[in-house]
Amino acid sequence: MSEKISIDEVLHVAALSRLRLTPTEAEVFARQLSVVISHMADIESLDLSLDDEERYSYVDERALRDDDTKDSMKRESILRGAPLVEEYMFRVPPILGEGV
Amino acid sequence: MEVNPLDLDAYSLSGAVLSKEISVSEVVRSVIAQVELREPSISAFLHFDPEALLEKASVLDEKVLRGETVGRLVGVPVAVKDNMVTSDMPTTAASKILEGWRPPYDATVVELIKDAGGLVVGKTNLDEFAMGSSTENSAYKVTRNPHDLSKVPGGSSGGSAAAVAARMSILALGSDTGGSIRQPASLCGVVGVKPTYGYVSRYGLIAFASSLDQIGPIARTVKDAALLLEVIGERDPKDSTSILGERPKLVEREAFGVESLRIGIVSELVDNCSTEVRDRVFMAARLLEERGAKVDTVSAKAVTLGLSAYYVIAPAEASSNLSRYDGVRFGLRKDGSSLTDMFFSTRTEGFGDEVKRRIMLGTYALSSGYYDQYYGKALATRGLIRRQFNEVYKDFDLLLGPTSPTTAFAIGEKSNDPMAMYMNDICTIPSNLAGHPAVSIPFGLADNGLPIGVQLLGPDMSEPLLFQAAFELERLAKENLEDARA
Repeated sequence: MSEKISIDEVLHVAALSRLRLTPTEAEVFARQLSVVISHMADIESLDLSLDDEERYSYVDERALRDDDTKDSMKRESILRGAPLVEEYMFRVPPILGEGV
Repeated sequence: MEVNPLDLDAYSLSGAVLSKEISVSEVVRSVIAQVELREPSISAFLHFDPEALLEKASVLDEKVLRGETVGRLVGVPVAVKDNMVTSDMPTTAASKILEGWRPPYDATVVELIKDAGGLVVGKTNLDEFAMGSSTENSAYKVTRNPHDLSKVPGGSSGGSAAAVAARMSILALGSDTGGSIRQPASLCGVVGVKPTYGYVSRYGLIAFASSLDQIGPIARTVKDAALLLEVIGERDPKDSTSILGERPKLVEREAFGVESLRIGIVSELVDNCSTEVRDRVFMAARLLEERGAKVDTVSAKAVTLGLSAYYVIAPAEASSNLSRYDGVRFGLRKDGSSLTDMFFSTRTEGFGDEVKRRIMLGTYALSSGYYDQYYGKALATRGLIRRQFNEVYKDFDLLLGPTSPTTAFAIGEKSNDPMAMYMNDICTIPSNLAGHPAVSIPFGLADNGLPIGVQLLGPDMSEPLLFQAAFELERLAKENLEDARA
């Protein structure tokens, strides 16, 4: 059976998702994802389009609340969950000079 | 008091606490004893701290003694699925990427339970980030079905359903994105409710697929599920999708009956299940008819497209929601030579296979060239399903069908076949796509001794009618079938 998604495509999608895969994992995922994507053929072939009312059906008056000033969470309590902190900042590896 | 508090329903238990017939500390000691007895073989909890529970109990006992106002859940144990944040307990979503994380706040539902005097007894196991139908995808442990330890409890809220079924808690919270409350409730022989989208606040629920996720109750009885939903069903300004206005009363629906209710059996849903499950749905229909309901079969062809639409939309939203796990602000960090390298190392090591599969599937469906082919089509299909349901609801008040196509399957049976696993959600997914509420009610045991659940579905905000019919089905099960409780 020809795969719906190739190993190269899986590796590309993994890279976009910031995931590393071993060659064996890429092969297994390509096989499994192909089965799932094949199942989607039933909607792929539908002659359907979405009208704007449906596209935005979840954007309504619920999204709005009064613009009041309130206390935010304490900075310390948020930083407490971080893997690496320096003073009041999240510490990360260098960004400049990345050869990606 | 002679009886074990865990044999009582939530209503009677809070009443007994209020009238000082039983103390909250006694309740907690019963919970601890039951957890010591059942948890080693079931593995429902990811976090359970007896000492902390006893402390909380004595604080509540003092309040009751002083005559302070306590809420409707006073002294009632509530187990919380570990994808809802708790400031006094770790929250992992059953993922290594959040191991040891202590959230800085409580989810709105947790706050509401505490305000009502409820006792959050612990955090329950789930499929990692709620992605799964068996609770085998947890990074920490596999939960077992209290009815048969070789079987799965369903998922993703398998820990919550198993904890209630095994009487380690009286109530529990689950979350339902494609059936994750109803399917485990069905497989464990308890009641599970997925409310209308926006009925319960999602603030503090770790997001999987935000347009589908909804928190709801798991309980041993319909009345207890109604009580818990009355407590957690509140408008929340912190959730932009929270429905405006008051929620209706539900417990009072106990005595309403089903006289003249128009109930449709969705043929496409019963077509997809085992003979035994199908027979039980028709039996439920016949019994409801005897009680005065008007039952007929109805076709809703679009529901057969639900699975495909769901497995595009949910992974697409998950791929975006889970991009926040990058090793910077919380949870696991695996070092790398650069920032990007750290992202790769952290996510590769922190996520399990099913989560990786769904992130990649979502990224693929959203990538250029495939967006219209998959994501656009899936959204349009979702619209079609909702429209078709709403057409059907012009002729019917509620719909009836199976919750799960089969009874609980063996641990390991489907874990290497994602598509076979996804098929478990075929009867539950349509309600999530439509945003509609649905309830799973235990309806006796199959020949293999495992519970069968039947599902009632309704249109937006039909919770009062759903509960009305659920109460009747519960009475009918009690009168006609073997007790499905473990």
